[in-house]
Amino acid sequence: MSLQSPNDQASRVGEVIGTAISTFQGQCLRLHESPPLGALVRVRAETDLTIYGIVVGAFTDGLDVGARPIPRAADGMEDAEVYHNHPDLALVLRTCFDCLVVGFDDNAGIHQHLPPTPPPIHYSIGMGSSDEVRGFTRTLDYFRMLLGERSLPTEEVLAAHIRCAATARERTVADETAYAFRVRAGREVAALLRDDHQRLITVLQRIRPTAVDERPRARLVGETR
Amino acid sequence: MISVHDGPLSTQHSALSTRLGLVVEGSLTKGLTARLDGSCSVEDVRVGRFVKIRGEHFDFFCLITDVALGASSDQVLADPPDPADSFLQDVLLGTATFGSVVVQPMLMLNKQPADQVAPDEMGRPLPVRTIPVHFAPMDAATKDDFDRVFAPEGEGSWEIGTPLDMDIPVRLDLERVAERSNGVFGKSGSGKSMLTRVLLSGLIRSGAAVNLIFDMHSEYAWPTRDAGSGLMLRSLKDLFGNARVAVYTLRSTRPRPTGHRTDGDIRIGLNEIDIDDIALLSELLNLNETAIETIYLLQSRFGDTWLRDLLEMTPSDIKAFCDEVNAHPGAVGALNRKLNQLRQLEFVTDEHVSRASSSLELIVNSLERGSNVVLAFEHESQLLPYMLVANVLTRRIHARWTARMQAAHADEADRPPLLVITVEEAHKFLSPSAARHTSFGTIARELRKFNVTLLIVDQRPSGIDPEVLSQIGTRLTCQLNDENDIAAILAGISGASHLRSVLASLDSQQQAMLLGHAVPMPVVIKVRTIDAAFYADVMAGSRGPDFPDGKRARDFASLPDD
Repeated sequence: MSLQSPNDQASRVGEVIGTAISTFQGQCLRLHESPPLGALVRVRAETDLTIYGIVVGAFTDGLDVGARPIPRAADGMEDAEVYHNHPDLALVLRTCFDCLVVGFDDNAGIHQHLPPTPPPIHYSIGMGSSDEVRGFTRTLDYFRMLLGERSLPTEEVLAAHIRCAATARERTVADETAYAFRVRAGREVAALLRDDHQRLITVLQRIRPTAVDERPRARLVGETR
Repeated sequence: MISVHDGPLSTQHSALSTRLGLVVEGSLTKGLTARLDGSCSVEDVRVGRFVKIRGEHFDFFCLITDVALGASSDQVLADPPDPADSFLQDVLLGTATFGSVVVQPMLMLNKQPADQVAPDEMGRPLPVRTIPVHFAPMDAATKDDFDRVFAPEGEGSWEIGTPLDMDIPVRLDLERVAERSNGVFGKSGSGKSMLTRVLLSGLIRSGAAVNLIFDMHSEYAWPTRDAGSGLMLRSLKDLFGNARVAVYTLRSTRPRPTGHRTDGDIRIGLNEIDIDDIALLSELLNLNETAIETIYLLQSRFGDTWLRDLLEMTPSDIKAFCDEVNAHPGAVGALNRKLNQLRQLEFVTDEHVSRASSSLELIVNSLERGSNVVLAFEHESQLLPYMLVANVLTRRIHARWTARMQAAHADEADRPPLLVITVEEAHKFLSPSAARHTSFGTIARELRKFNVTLLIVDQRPSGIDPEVLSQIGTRLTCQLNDENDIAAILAGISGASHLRSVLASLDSQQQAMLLGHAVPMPVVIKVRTIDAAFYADVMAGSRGPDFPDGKRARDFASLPDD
């Protein structure tokens, strides 16, 4: 099944400025407006290829390689006022985010492995809608790709992603409750980390529902893994 | 006997079937291990439960014999999650920690398309000769599965109870029950009498056999109060009417409670008591081997009247007799004293009882005509009268049935009706030492060929001669605690070691494991409650007074041995 995004323009969060087969980097449209850690983003490469990534990190630095930020606060002026008094900052600084490629959608449906080509540079990066997130997380095979990435704080990233996907279920009328999704995702992680209990517990503690979104256990009955 | 539904078998697995887990390992001899799904709590599966495994070509019907907890790594166990953290429990259950069950496959049913199945395998549960493939799903058995394995509803089947966790009937094929000797076992208070009552009601109702019931504690002859529930239970006579059930008691001068109607009293002449009857009582009468030898001497000297002659001997008569046959006067004197106990029994008479006036003959004739007989011991519920009467009567039945069958083989006459003799405290008759002397031993071993089988009701199966026990067709076992008793029940059953845990886990009341000839596979049931619905069932299908000529009962002696 292919996922349709109703409004590409509205969901646009950045542009591809660095690309490889397994990762890509995007620059935000506006300073400090990075998509949240763990969010599902996508790049519509061609009419029949959409590449999905998960936000695994973000940073802000100077546009000019040689220009380093220096402290600007002075005389009680700090934080947001600094930007207010130095409107040029928005033009010389940039916020970027790193994404890990976790799958793609061709006309045949969603695949949770690496795409045939990397996302093209300068193409738009869009936030996945709730429908897209629920569609993509129907199966969770790509967790393995996330956990295998040794250079990242994978437990934190994975936990953030699971929380994002659970939130997508709270916002809409979904066939699976947010709590049920957390449990399903937790079980997938438990299966992948069966030999590393400490890492498993680290992830589970970070996806445990808070009192607000706790769902009764009865909802679980009859679910399949 | 086995119903198979129309249509392809593969489509019968309705969405209603609840998956419990997947087979992960095992062997035919040691049983299969199935890992439970996360959604199935280990507390929901019990030992003794009937489950179905859907293999590639076969459905396997299995019994859960063990339940275990497992973990994917020791680390989980070293650092267990907080019991209050339900989320962690939900995640870990079925992944890092899981329940597993050991199941013993009992039967398999070929479910391939008809053209790929050998005709003799079609739609018939087969003994298990292979095991399902890896990761075959295990489901809780459904009503359909029970219907495919156990006897379907019909004239010849009788509901004996329900599976432990389902409200669907488990039925016995009464013809298969009656064609072999059966045993109802269980310790005191475990519900043997109720189970026996359910079974007897079925047997009498269906007419699968004529019944003779030695009712030691007067439970079946008259209405009685159930010790457990306090409810009044209707008697067999009450249920089936005078024409089908006759009640006899032993002659007694003691007053009988009002309402205890009988069809006659029994008296036994001393001339009707035989050496074998005395030999059976040797433990009760404290007789030794010499005493039995002395009786042989007496019989060869006096013939039929030996017992009365012995009891009437004066000391000088004893001396004269001993001189004549070279016997020991002390031994004969002791025998005289000990056998005098028999004379004290009210129903034993000194008079010579002729064949025509014998009340024992009356009962045998009545049975031959197809009337069910309950012999209530009422006041005489001690072992001595019980064993004496049961053996004297059974010996006559043995002789009559044997003679009639031999005549029938020579094509001279009809076969006698199939007779089921219900006997309580059976280990007294069928202990290794007694089984040699009693007609019960002979019946249990070989009288199936002569159309007589036993329904043994006993609390001490380990006391029964192993040779007799091995001939028991169907074992209906309530709770037993003694290891020896459990071992005796399972002796000679293939795969018995797996059933031990099932048998040991039975509830103390109203639960029973059925095992053997009349059930295709062992099954644990909750025994049917005797209530208004039960009586309605009994009445509904009850065939009116019949057996006018003894031809109604089926004749199993013609079946080949197997």
